[in-house]
Amino acid sequence: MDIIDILIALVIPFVILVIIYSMGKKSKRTTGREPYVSGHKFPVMRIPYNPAWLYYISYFILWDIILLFILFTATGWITYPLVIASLAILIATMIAYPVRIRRVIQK
Amino acid sequence: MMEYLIFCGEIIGWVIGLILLAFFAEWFFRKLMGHMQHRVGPKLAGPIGILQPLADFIKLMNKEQISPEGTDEFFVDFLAVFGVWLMVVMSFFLPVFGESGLLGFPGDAILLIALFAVGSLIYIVTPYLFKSPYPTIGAGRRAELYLAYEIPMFLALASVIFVAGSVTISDIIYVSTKTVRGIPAVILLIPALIVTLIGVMARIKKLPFDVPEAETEIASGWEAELSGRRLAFFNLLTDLKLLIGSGVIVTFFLGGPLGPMPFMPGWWWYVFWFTLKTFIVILIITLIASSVARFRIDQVLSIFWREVLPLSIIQIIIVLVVWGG
Repeated sequence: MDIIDILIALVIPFVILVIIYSMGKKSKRTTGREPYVSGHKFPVMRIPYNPAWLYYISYFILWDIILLFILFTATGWITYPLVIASLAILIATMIAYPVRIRRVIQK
Repeated sequence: MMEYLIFCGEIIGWVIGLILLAFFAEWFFRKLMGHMQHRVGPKLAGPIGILQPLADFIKLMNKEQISPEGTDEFFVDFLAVFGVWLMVVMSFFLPVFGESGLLGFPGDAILLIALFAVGSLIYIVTPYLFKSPYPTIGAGRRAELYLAYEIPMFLALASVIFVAGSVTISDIIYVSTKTVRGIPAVILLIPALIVTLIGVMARIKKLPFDVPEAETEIASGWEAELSGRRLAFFNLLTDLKLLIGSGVIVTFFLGGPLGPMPFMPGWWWYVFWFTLKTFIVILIITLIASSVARFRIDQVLSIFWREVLPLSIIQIIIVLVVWGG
């Protein structure tokens, strides 16, 4: 299995899912939307959960995954390029989540 | 070039087949649960209601999606697709057609577990993108639940890896055939199997661990503001998690695709045994889910921290003493 096979295996499912998703009905209303799906006209609100809690969860998951790799690196397979690339993607994703959420909350 | 085209066709077939199998798993779960609770269950779409999940999916795809003001529309859409894609990628590592998955490589078990963890994060992040109280509470509950089940489940799967002596799925599936000092590994790993089964049930939010979406308490919680195609995709994600979670249990504890091949040996026997074992695990999950009422959030956390976590630690100690000592 070469890199093109891996790319095919990763890209094609995503394309298929995007196509299926785009076939769904979008919201045409840009104004006058209800605050909630239930139809309640309460003001839009976010209850005061501490975002730091969410960051902690993200860092916990990051630790969780890194720990997995550290625990089982004794056999030397960590040098396998795909594993390293996967780890880099996972770490980037984990860092991106809280950053993105912080931006959303600040809006 | 022709080889790549054939591979593309295989991947397309795999994705469509997996989605249809996920719908079948949902029908199986709902029908069986209905009978367990003296209800009929799905019955209108298709023979004995077998097409009901597909009909539900199409119906939701054709409904208008509504979201509260201030929602991060793009990110919610992205997570809906990304979650399903992640499950499809996970399925490439499951040994369905042979002793290793489609994308199998040395150390693939670690990536499989890691992807499972990332999948859980979607349920925590998505509700936070809506400025609505119920999803926020649901996200908080999901986060607490995640912390509770992740460590025991990780320890349980790690004990299987210790017994296998490998982090590669093609080696792990042979754990069920091993004996450790005269004790069959299957018996040695029963606590780990119980912990993983409970962890998978919590991960896929099936009763009695569906506290993040408790309808009677927090109005469906994390998914309260999902509608239309988003809800369709998140429902599909839950179905896929049921299927893939059961597949992970089969891979780590039940020998994966291994089984007798009485005549015409070939890859179809692998598919047959893996699918059969997966649906037996789904059957067990359904029986538990339909027999037990929902726990409160404090009860769930108490069970995981006070009972399941010690059980997984005992399992690790047993493995290290019997196998490593």
